[in-house]
Amino acid sequence: MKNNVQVIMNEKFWIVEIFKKKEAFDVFGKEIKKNIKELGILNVEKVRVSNLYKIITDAGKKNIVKIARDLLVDNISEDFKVYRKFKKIKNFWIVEVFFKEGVTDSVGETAKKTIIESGILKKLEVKTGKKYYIKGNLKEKEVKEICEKLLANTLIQNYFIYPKG
Amino acid sequence: MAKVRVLILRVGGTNCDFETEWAFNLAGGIAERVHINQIIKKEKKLKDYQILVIPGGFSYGDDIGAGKVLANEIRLKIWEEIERFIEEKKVILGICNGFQVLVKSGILPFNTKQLVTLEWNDSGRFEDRWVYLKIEENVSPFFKDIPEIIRMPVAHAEGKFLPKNEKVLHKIEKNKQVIFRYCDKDGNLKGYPYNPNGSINNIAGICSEDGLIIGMMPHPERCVLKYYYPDFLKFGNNEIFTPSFKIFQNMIKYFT
Repeated sequence: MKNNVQVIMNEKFWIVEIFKKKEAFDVFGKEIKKNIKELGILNVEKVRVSNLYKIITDAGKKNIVKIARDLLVDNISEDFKVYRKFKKIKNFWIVEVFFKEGVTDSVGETAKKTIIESGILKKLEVKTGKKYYIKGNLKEKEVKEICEKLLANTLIQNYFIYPKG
Repeated sequence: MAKVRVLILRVGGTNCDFETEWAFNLAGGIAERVHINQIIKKEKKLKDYQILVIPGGFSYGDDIGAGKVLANEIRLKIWEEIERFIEEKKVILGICNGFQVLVKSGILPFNTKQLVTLEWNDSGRFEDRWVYLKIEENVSPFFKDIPEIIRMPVAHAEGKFLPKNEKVLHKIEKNKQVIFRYCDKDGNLKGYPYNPNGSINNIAGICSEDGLIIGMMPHPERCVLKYYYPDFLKFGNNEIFTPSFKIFQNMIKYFT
């Protein structure tokens, strides 16, 4: 599927990716791995899940790091990274899921409200999504099946598959 | 003697405010449900109350993380009033979502930056059922005259008590800030399903160093009368209230 969330011309944005620290248990990763196996796709070895906040703004990275650290992340159990483009990872398929245009993103709205109220930024948009790292000897067809049946509700969400690095 | 005034803090998504108000009124206080905007606009003043309760529910839909947005709001908008409330040695109670707010704003356990969190349950599910709790020897004055092992309902998805490191955990334990732990019916500390979320050291509730700020995952306001228990017929005819109601009574009694 064509990547229409990441590449919108002239749109300046940052992605805040929030993931569990090693000492905290990635319960969703474990659950999704179990669910993938229940689909009959047995070659999956490991699944990790991150939350994505796509912050559409002209602001610099320093402000975004402050937003992530002070407002979005639970500093005890979570860590984060801020980027515009991510690198592919060896042995991992990467799937991103975002809402389609026009679908209400209530978590994004709440994040926007809390960022504006903090005074760090005045004008911005926030779109939330999920990122899945899937390790295993999988074919693209199988990853697509996982997305359609498990990770995305294609009525309201788009998914993007990035092959193994 | 003037009656004890209790402020039940409401925001969008709070849903245990009515029960909590009822429990405090029944215990002899004057409870009032107040929206956070009324405090921000100075229509209501925290200094007029002796007890502040952050009740259970899903504040702001648990968006970003359970209790995170309300914790940010408290830090950003009403922090001065909260700080004065704590300095004046008044009582703060956080139940379930309220506990999540208290730890994420850093008020518990030491009123510093955030040092503990309440993580997703190990089961990955919303756990909604009765649990046994063992009351520990603690510094709080509100858990006197309560049996050592009591029952309360839990209803949460993010309740796994997780400290930043061993040092923080050790300090909480050493200061006797642990109020109660999940256990089996004989008081033995056990894993799932007795510990519904995988909490470290089975911790279900903690208090501040002076014992006046309380945070707990179980819901005492959901088991005020014996009739709330599934086996209430085992109680004597003269008993009406449950041991967890005593917590509300002890809080009111503290000021009278």
